[in-house]
Amino acid sequence: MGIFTRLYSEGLPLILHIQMILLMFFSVFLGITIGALPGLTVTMGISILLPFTYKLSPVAGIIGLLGVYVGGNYGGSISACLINIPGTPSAIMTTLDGYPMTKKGFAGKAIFLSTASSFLGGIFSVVVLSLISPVIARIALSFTSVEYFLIGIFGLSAIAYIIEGSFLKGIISAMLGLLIATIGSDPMVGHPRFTFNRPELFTGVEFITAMIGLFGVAEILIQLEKEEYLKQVKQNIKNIYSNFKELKSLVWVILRSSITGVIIGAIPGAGGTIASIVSYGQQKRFSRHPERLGKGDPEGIAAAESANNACTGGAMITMLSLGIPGDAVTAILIGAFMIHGLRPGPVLFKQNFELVSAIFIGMFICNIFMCFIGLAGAPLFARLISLSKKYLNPAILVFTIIGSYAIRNNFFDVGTMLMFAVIGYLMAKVKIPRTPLVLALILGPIIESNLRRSLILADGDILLFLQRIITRPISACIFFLTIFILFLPLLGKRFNREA
Amino acid sequence: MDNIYIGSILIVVLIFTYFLTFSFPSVGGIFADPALYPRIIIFILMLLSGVTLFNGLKEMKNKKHTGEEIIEKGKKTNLKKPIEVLFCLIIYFSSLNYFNLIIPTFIFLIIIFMIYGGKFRIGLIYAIFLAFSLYVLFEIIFKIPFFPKYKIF
Repeated sequence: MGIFTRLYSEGLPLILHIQMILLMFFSVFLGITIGALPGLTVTMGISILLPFTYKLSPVAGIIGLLGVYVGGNYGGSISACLINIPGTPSAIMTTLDGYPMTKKGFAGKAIFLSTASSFLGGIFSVVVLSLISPVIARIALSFTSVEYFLIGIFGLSAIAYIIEGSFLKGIISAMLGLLIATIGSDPMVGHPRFTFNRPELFTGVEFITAMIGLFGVAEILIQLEKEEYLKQVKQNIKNIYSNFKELKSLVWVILRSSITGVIIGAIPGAGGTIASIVSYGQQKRFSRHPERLGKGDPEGIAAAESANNACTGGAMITMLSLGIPGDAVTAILIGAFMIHGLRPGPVLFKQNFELVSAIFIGMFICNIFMCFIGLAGAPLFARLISLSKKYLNPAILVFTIIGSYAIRNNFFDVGTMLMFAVIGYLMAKVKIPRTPLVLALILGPIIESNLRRSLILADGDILLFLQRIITRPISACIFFLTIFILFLPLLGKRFNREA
Repeated sequence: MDNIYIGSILIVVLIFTYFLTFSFPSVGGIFADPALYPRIIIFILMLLSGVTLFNGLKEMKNKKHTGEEIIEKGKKTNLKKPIEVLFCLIIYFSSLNYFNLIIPTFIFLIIIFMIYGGKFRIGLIYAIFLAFSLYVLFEIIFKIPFFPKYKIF
């Protein structure tokens, strides 16, 4: 029997009984709820739920958390589409098209597309990665600081496609993000920078609180100023399933983005946020109507969501086969394995193959449940936005405050969130885009630490560093891909002018 | 005028930030220096801010007073409500440090509900229901610890 067949058969007896099915359904539902609530993240949800798995069997405990992971990753897109607050960091790109679509009155369609794309991306990642995981893991394992630095720059190059309005202001926003990302301990020598002797800042600005402030509270303040809250958005929630036709036209977008998501997910540290950023930028390049992206285009939602959910499989395979966490959530999941006396890695495949198989089947079933709950609950979620803002916004504001506090049980983070809310509000007033700042906040630490490490390894010789970029096959590929992506908008403009 | 504000404020902030980098110790070689990377970013931002300021000054010089501008100036912007909400948020978050979740949340919800134009009676029912639900969700289910100085509930 081939390894692929074994992967999808040996774990069946562990999975196919009523308690496990109910556990998966409940955990996916819980994950979607956590992901959809602004301020509650998948990382936080899993870390809170982790102690409850002590009493469960290893399979039940790990699959229960995986259900939350799969559901939560998708759940972030619900709040991204309905209220312009990405419930999870990886749903940031979904806000760009999901929310404009909702504002046009098509919340049901936005949720349908995000659900279907998440489902297809998730299923794709589970199936394909079970086939090619050893190869991808081997590639990712050979990455050095040079490749990681270039991956960071590659992610940042997506800014070229998502800036609206003044390009100069977009670059300023990104550079401000890179500067804010330097707050905290120096990645090489550990000396505190711009911390003003506040121990809360030693680990840097809490990214999630910054995002809640910039996108959540700032958005509510802007709406208040323009009195947009007085407008009622009527939702088209009657014909959700008639959007299947539209889904057919998005098959290639989903496939391409899923492949991107799977590859980036397998790179340790990259995660769903970078996958959705890169995939969105890629879509802007390949789209026949790039000008529609960012204005409620289905392609934007499909690209971001399929890549983001395809990342779950990618991150899981790297974690399972090599014991390397693909993102923060899989890092906590490694902890879940360890409390049951298990250690992810090649040995797990030899000694606990049934468990590995059960995880694959479990992820598959969780994705099906995610699709079912997401679609069946779509009218309910869409109705949420048609609620008067006077009922919704006070509750959102409380969630943002408590959510910011709950990340580290720290009031300092709430202050940080409010400061970013003011910054976000002022940025919107002077028309500086906020998204580049957030992207740079995520990518900043990756870029800085790996750039400096590479330069130290090159004995401070910049020419040698550049030579390493060009001569190493993987880094050369990423480098030229980045250059290509950066200059493509300019080339496109030139071709259009000539045409 | 926006560009002039952005450029000048950024330059002031960046000069202050640049001086802060001198408090970082020099360790080892140039690339191990904690101040190097922030200084590079500050330098690039300085250039970009300079360009923004220059553009702003150029725009102001060339500006013609058109009818469109007058309409733009006449557009109603309500700064009062965002400031009120921001003030309430600061008071609410500070009060969580002194009291438990339920009382400050209840008061905050009523006030915000009324800022949004809701009626007091409906706001009262809304705030009681929501404050209690949030208390159950965060304090009982999620067990998020608050450490109030004066615990009422």
